[in-house]
Amino acid sequence: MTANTLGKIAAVCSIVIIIGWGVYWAVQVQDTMCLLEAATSEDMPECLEQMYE
Amino acid sequence: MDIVFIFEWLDASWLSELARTSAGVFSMVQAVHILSMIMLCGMLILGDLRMLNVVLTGVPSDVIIQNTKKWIYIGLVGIILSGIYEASAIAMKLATNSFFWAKMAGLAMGIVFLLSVRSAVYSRAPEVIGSNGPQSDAVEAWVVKLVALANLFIWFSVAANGRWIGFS
Repeated sequence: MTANTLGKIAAVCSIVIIIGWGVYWAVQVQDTMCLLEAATSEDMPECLEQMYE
Repeated sequence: MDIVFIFEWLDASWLSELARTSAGVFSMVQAVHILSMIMLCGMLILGDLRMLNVVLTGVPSDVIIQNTKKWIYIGLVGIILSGIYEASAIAMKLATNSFFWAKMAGLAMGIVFLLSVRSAVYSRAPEVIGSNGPQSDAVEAWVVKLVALANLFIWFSVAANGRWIGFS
């Protein structure tokens, strides 16, 4: 494999991982924070309604 | 694909029985798990930060990558073996834990990325090629830095997800 091809593949993989995994992970953390908030508060938080829309 | 049967099998195994009844052994294995993670991530961080020209800039990067490789594999074996033991104690809980699955996805992605992209790109980094062969064989410097950032991100998420399992 040429250095140019390897560089292109590596760059695409890295960008996909940073953006794709970052978005997935951020949503997951946000959902968990919302569930934690729901578990500790008496009222249903807004984020919980949005989560199940 | 339903793989809950694997967790049911693990939950009913002698390993699970041992993990639940021997608090002393469990805490020791937990320490091994954390130390293996520290060693694995420490070695990865060292190599990646070197490739980003942040640490040990006076040491050739190929020397660091070559010398950390063995310890990365030892750390990987350590986290996987101790992780199976730890997971056996709460197998059914983990089967439905989203952070556990995120950690496993990150771990699988990290291993594949480590053995394929990171390894190939670092062995053809401009600094490494510069001392051995023509610069046309070298991957561009910004790609090397991008790979280092992606690798750091993957392993940070693996460690963070592991911690989140404890909170959820």
